Amino acid sequence: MRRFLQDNGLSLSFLAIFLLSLIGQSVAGWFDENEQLAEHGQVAVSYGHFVTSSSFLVDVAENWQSEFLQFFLFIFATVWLIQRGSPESKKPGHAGPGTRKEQRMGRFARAGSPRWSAAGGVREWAYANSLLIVMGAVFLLSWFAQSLGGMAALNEQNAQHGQAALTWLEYIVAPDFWNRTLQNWQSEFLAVGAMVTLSIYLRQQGSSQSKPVGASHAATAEEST
Amino acid sequence: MTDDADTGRSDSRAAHAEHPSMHDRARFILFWAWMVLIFGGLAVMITLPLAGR
Repeated sequence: MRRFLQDNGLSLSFLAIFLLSLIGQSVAGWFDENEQLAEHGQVAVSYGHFVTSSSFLVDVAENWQSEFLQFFLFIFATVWLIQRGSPESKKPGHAGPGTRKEQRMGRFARAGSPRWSAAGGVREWAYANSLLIVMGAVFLLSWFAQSLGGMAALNEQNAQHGQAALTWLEYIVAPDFWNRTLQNWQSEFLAVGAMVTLSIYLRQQGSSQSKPVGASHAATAEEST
Repeated sequence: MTDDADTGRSDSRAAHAEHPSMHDRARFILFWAWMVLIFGGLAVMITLPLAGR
């Protein structure tokens, strides 16, 4: 058990703080919702009602989509683009998917290589791009979830003000959808760009996301070891 | 074994080496737990608004 915790500390600790944050968000959102209902002289809703409501789900989904878009773009961009000096980048001159030998694919697979890395055809292609495919799928599905939840929440507000309901096609070009979308995207792109650039000159001793403290500013990830 | 003689960790490493599949399985379960969490969450976030919540 102790060995399991030591070997998997990164994923387990993020799982724990994710769950705690989600519970915190749901409780704070529930209080906020009931305060607003009270201001309008309406009856408070139960916790169960709130966490299954579109107004809560759209807030969760809009953050999920932007996080998965961030990783999707970062994984894709780091195949093709280089940032000299950054530990997040491959070495200059190594842009692109790499050779089959470098990637240990097909006949270059070794003992312990995943079976699909040498499976050939569609399976090998799918496995070679599986991280990007899954991140992209989660981004698209959570963006779709945001659009559904956002439409339902906006239509509920519109109904209270005697306004007509929007269809899904009308909602996905509405300001509310793009305001929710872009306010999350801008912060993700800022954070990724900052991480790539700041890590050229700044260090964190012991972190896999940093170059060694004594590495040259010009050294890119693989050159700095 | 000799590498670990100074640290006294040789016994524990030998014990772990006897059960590598147990740790592989635990890591595999952790991977699928994250996948279920993510795709389960997505299923909830898509189905509830469609069901009129």
